[in-house]
Amino acid sequence: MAGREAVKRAVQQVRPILSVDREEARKRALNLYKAWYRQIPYIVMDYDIPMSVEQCRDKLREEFVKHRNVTDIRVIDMLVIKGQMELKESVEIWKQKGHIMRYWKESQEPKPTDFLSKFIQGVN
Amino acid sequence: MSALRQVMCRSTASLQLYQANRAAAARWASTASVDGGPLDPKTALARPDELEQRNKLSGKITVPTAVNLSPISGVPEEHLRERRVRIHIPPKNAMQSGTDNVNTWQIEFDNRERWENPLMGWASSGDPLSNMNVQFGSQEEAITFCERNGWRWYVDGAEKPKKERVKNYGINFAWNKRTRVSTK
Repeated sequence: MAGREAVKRAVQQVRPILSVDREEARKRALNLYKAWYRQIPYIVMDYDIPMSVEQCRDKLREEFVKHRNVTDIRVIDMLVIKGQMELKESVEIWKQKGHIMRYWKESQEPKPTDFLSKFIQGVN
Repeated sequence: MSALRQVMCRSTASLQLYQANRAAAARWASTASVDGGPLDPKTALARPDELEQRNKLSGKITVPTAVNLSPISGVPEEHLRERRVRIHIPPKNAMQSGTDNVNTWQIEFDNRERWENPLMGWASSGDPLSNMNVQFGSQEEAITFCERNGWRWYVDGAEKPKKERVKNYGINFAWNKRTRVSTK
């Protein structure tokens, strides 16, 4: 019944996805951030969402900061690729208003966290 | 006059062709092998920076063995942070089946809310991972899988050391065993 939380220190040799070192991966992430940052006013205008540009930029920052602890170069590359795809979808208006508003999770009710409210709602 | 123009045009055209050929030949010489074997057009026509990038990508990079794929796996956050995985060997069937199906390791998630369907009385659950049945060859594989997916885990049912005993039918009839009885 013992959980093993020890981190292995071993390394391995793998094929890269896009970047060969950390610096390059960092540059890609920053470029993606800048591209989103510049695109946000147009996204707000095109989709006519009830959010200001500042709120969108806060959300953008939040989405990037969420993955600040990722260290693996391949995972960073994959996140950049996914972010690029999202940006493309937003720019080309392949999304709809609801897809953009989904970043704020307004329609989701927050789940209870403390014991009593969990018990009352019957969830565990 | 028209014939002359034709000749002139042809000569200029051929001159351009000649220059283009020389340029191509120079590029060819820089990339071609010594014996003039067939060239890969992808290599011959690529720009130098493109070639450099391709060279870099064909190499290898060093990354830690333990990698957490949860940021890109697409699993919702509520199923990453709050789930706990039990790693165990499935118990042997109490009926007369053999032990062949208990050599694998399985993962199992903690229970989430279940409810009874008000119309039909069926058992319902909103948990997408409740029926996930993955089998592994060893405990380590299961642990690696959980760590790659970012789940907390614990190993249930540690193996108990079995007492060694000699499996021999004749021992039952040894001289110092009470099991030996007279035939009369």
